[in-house]
Amino acid sequence: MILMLIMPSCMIYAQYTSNDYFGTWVYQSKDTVFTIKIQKTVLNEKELIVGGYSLKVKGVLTDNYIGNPPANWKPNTMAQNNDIYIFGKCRVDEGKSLVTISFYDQRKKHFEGKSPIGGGKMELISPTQLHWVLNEEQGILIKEGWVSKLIGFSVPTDVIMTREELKPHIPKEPGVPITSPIIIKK
Amino acid sequence: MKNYLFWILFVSIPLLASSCQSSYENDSGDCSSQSIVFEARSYFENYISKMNQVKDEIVGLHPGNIVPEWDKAKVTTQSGTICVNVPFIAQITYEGSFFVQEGNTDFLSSKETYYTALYQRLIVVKDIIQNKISCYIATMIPDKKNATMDAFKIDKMFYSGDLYTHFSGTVIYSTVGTNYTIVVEKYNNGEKYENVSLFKSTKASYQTDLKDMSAIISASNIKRKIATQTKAMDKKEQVAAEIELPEVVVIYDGGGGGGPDFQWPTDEPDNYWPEPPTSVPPPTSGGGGGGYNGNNGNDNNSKGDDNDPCVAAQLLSDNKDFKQRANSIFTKLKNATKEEGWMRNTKGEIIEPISASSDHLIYSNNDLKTAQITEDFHSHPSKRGIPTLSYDDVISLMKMYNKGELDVEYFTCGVISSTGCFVVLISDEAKFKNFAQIANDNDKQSELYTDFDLYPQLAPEKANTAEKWANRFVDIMNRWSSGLSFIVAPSNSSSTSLENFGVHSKSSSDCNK
Repeated sequence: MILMLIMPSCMIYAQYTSNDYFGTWVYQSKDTVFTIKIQKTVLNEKELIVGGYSLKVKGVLTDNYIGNPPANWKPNTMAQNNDIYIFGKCRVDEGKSLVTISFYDQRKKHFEGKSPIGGGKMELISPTQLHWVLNEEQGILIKEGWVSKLIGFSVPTDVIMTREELKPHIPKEPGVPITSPIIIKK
Repeated sequence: MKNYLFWILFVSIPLLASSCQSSYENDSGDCSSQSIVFEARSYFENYISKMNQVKDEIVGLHPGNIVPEWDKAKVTTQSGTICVNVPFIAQITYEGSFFVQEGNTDFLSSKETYYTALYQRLIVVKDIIQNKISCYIATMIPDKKNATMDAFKIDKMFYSGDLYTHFSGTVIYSTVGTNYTIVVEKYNNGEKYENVSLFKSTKASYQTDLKDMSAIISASNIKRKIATQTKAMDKKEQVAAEIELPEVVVIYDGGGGGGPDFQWPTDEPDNYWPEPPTSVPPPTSGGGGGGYNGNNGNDNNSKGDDNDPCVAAQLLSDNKDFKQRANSIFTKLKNATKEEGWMRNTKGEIIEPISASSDHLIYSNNDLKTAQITEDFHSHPSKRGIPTLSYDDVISLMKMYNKGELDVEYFTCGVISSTGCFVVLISDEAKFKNFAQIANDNDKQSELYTDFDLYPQLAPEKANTAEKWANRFVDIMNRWSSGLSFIVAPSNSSSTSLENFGVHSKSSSDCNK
């Protein structure tokens, strides 16, 4: 009887693990495509979620910061040098599962590009849908205590992203390796 | 004539302070001073109980048998010292003529004298650093302008330990049992301009200091009156029954006696001033504010309970000078476009920032090198400024600690926001030392940063309240075993000042113990 009462509440708060976040997620609106790639790293023997992002406008790749973050992160240089532009932790608190993230916006460069801006989160709505949120005000509040000015973000701040289908790529031309992304750093 | 007094504690005047509505007077009017008065009373009664059968001649300005009125006690606090001012009904009262002294000069106006009543009060002073208590009789002699024959008018003029007194006249501190005069202070409109203290005496200077005391008091003639109806609770009735005795010699330096914890010089040459007195000196009064922090000139580095959040909350609440600084910033928060703040060092110097950028204050390195820092406060302006330390604030605190810039035992650091003042203090230095290593560890900094990132995320509608935000901050600090304690003075946007400080509800400290 007790089990029957407990089970529905567990189902309501079904929690995703960090594994559910790994992969590539895409948001497209009109002529803008925003992509993030999330993977796992280890920092101080603790699992951390890291990744990068890219932005394509009218078919042109304007920002590409998707690289190969290390499997073990030793942040003795700037995160960006390790291809880390997004990092966060998968949290379970108050029955809710989400990833709190800090973000390095390579165009806006909050805090003069020296520190990431926190206040962001990723939350799985379903195994194939992810709610991506950046909150500049919160991020500045956490770091500095109050907000003197907002400069915005160069990427979408509150969108639902879809997991990229894991379908095989067929090269249009022979000889182009499938797993070699073009990295353009500005 | 020798009079032998047996200290008698009369049936105590009802001391009732079972609730916050007790009549204890203190600067803050809060309940916490009740425990201090209880502690003072307990100390004094124990002190007196050990003096039974001690033969004390009525010397100097001895009040004879006294009945302390604990329910009328007034508590003052400052720089590591708590002082309980206790009026009493005395067997003996004094009045006399004094030479006129002009302002804060050494000039005595020839033979011009004035006549006034003297007022006496028991003071119990606690050094919270050494956790030590002493008691004295304080005698107030107003100057010519404030001279009065109504001793009870003098009651309101001066409280020991009150940094904001406007008193003009002389204050004499004497030992309770033996009535040795140990400190004489002279004030002009609250400014102390002369001070002779036997606590600073050396064997060589002792006799000179006694003479200086007499000179400062400038007494022409003092009369002692003994009330014949010592049990009379009506003070006017007492006065009516007084007997006037011969002239009093104020500065008494005879030997013998002494309180139970009082080592005082005797006439024996080799035991004249062998050791500094172990007692707590009377508190500093007048001359503007000191803060909660600072060592009050005490070089003792022993561990005390100064970094106990309960004590710190009490002291900050009662510290008018600190509150004035904090309130001044608090009232300007709404329209502020830059942070404001101050630091204070162990010398009591207030250090102002040399500039303020949009997101932080900049202090001169030279200013910070002068002495260790005991206070570091700044604002988070606008309505949305967070009510706790930010991530940068915490890292900055660690860096200052690692550089040895903090006087840990007395250090308080805080944020003034639209919702009040949030203060942290280092209550466990071993833990904080470990925590502060994060400032040198990029790995852990990233980890801490992601922890900070969490606290506005969940249930944002709740996290947006100051209380929730503060709770989350405290949770994070506790999770990291930071060694920090937290006290808060809440307020709200419609208020123009901060309320009293209390220990944060998530703190492990129980101030009711």
